[in-house]
Amino acid sequence: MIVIAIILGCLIGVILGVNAPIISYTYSKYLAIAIVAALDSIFGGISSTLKGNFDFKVFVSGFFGNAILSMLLTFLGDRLNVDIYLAAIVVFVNRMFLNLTIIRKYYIEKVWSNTNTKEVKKVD
Amino acid sequence: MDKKQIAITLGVMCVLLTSGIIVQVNTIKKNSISNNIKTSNNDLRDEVLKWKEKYEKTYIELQESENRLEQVRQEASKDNNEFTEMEQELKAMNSLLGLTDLTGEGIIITVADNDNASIKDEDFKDELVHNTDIIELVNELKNTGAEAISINGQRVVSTTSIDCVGAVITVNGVKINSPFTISAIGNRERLNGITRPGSYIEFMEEDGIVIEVKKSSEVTIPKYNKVMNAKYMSIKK
Repeated sequence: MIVIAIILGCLIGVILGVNAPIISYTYSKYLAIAIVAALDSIFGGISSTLKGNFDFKVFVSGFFGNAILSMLLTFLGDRLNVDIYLAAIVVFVNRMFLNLTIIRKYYIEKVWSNTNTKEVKKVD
Repeated sequence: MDKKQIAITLGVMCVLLTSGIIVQVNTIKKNSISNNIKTSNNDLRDEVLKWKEKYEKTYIELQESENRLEQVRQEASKDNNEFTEMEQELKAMNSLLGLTDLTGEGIIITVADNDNASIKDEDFKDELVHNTDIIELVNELKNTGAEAISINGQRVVSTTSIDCVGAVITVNGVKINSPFTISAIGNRERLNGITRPGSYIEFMEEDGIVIEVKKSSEVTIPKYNKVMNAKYMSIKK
């Protein structure tokens, strides 16, 4: 069900994106960092769903909060002439990998336990 | 929190995420410099694109101000005959200078590189259109009485330069590519004399350049889209 929702969401997003107007090049940097933040939130959402502690408020506030904070950091970096957005990207990608590990472990364990029980049955 | 709600939230977020990604990809695709010059220095390219955007914005503002100026002028000269005459004179002068869009009978010449040109050919260079070819054609058009000329939408005015910059030609400092469309307003029969035997066009055709000349009863020529500055000259008393 959740998988179907994600795939459907991606498809609708593609259609919307193709029809949406393009943005000015100056702001594309901010959209890029927001995309990375959103990607991180989605992975976080999936992994927390698997763990069973998904919280609507935490997820939505994280989705928008992270995106806005990272855009503000990029803006500040532009003013200070420091590439702060690199730090934001490192943090987000790091978290993405952690969440991916959780997701992967969950499915590996699921598949393993399934095959093990089958083998046990065969022995019986 | 049941599974349905989780699914809906994740789905909605995915919509936002993917549409954002697509918009970003399109933006980058549109803004990548088209002339295949790979700049290793991304900062410089960024800078150029930002300035270009700023220039375009400012140019639009300039046009709006010019329109407003035009309106104000018309309103001011409405009640006064003398002003109306001056207004008309001004318009005529502007069209001569190349500051107004024009239309009228004339010809359209399309010149293109030979598609079969290969770098292995001995006369490879002859099969491509060079800036000198364009200059030659513009000269011939002027000789046959062209009143206004544009090359790929760039108006030929008194300050126009037709240059060769590496692999591209610039007119008024703007890069243009093959096929080149040269439009000219004037008596179309006389302008058509450009195709006479022994003309430069025939010479180019022999070299393998693709040329098409079309007479037209309505040729539109855009105005000069830059600002003419006169810093050093003054009127002699």
